[in-house]
Amino acid sequence: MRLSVSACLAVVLCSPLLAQDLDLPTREEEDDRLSVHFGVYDQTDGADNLGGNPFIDEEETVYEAIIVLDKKMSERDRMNVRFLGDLVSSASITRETNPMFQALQSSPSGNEHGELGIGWTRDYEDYKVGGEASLGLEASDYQSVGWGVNLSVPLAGGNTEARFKYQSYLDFFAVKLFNGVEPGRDRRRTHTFEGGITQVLTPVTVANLVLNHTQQSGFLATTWYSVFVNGVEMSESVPSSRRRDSMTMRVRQSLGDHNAVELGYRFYEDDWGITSRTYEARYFHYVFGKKFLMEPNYRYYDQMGASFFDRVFSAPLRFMTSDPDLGDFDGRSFGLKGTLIKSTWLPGRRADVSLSFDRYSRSDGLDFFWTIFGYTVRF
Amino acid sequence: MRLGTLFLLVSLAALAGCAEVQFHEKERLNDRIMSFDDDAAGAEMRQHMITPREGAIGGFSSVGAGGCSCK
Repeated sequence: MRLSVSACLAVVLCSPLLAQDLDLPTREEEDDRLSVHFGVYDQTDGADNLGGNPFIDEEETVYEAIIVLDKKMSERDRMNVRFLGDLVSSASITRETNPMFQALQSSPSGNEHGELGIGWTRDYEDYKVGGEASLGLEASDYQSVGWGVNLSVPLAGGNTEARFKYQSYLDFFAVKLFNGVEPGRDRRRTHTFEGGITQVLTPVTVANLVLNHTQQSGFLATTWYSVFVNGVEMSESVPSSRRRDSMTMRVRQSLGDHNAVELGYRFYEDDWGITSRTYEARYFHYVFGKKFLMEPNYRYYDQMGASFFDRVFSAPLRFMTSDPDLGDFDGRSFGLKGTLIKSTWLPGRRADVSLSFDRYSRSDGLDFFWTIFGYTVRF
Repeated sequence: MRLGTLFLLVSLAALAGCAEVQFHEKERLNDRIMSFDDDAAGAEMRQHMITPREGAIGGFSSVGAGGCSCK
């Protein structure tokens, strides 16, 4: 699916001519806010650790925190500061063929990852423009520098909003192979172009369309992953570039004063041969007046793997991977999120507290669950 | 698929032209449950859990490729 840039532009250019000029009601997200989220992710590896790639133990636990401060600096300017931290445990891969060497599932370098980002948005009368920069670190073995720009244009006085974003990352990392050999350092470049439109369809219906185009180049393999060729273990080998395109469509429908439903669909395709379809359904229901919000969700994901994916290989090929995340599988997840809204007994003038739990079952046995605790205070 | 994408884009453009929702009709749309960005940080964390385990990226949150030592 190559993006139809001209069609996208046509939509953006035509929308203001077609729709009405109206004013938007003021939304709560214009307030200053501090969000703190803690998440725990736990992955199992199927029976006898034979899920996913049967040659490695893929059990993994990740603890993650995201702290975001979004503050109004002037009538036109907003600043956004974001910190992300990951702590990985139980993630060592005990390899059947090389038990003395242990690599980490989530990272080629270590089990602690940190990222700090800062963004700025200026609100002009007819549009908003913003920029952001970030720095990611994992000790001395991994560094990431990112920057991006974004543009948001309300059209038709709020019935349409067009968003564009460009994001770039340059990642540097130490290459650590499956056998413990460290041949040196390498890099990976990522460029992402994203365009989206949010469109009010009726007084109770809103739709969102997002087109994403990502281009990656450099060392794109997972450094410590390996393949078996006639019983001989070798490093995985993947192309040095990757084009990735996706189209996502979501529609949210109000069902009354206290409930709404969202249906979402995403088609994804890349030039490694992976295609996938994602279907999401989410239901929103207030209880106790509007003091508590329940959000059950269901998600189905179906993926056709990369053209060079296989569990084992009978002869060496130019490109080979046994990474289960690049293979054929489908997955289903169920989840439930509860949010206590605007609690007055908590510190801060208006605070939301949320807790969610999701379970994801994959057809290749790599099942996982995650739970997220969120605290957002507006001031 | 290219035709499908074009069809969707044109359809959305047509729908944009049909939208005549007035300010006073937006009471329900202004409710938090009608906002795609109501809990952006929570959505980002959710995608951090899912995205590294799938081949696909994009669309459901700001999480994309790069900026991590994963794929």
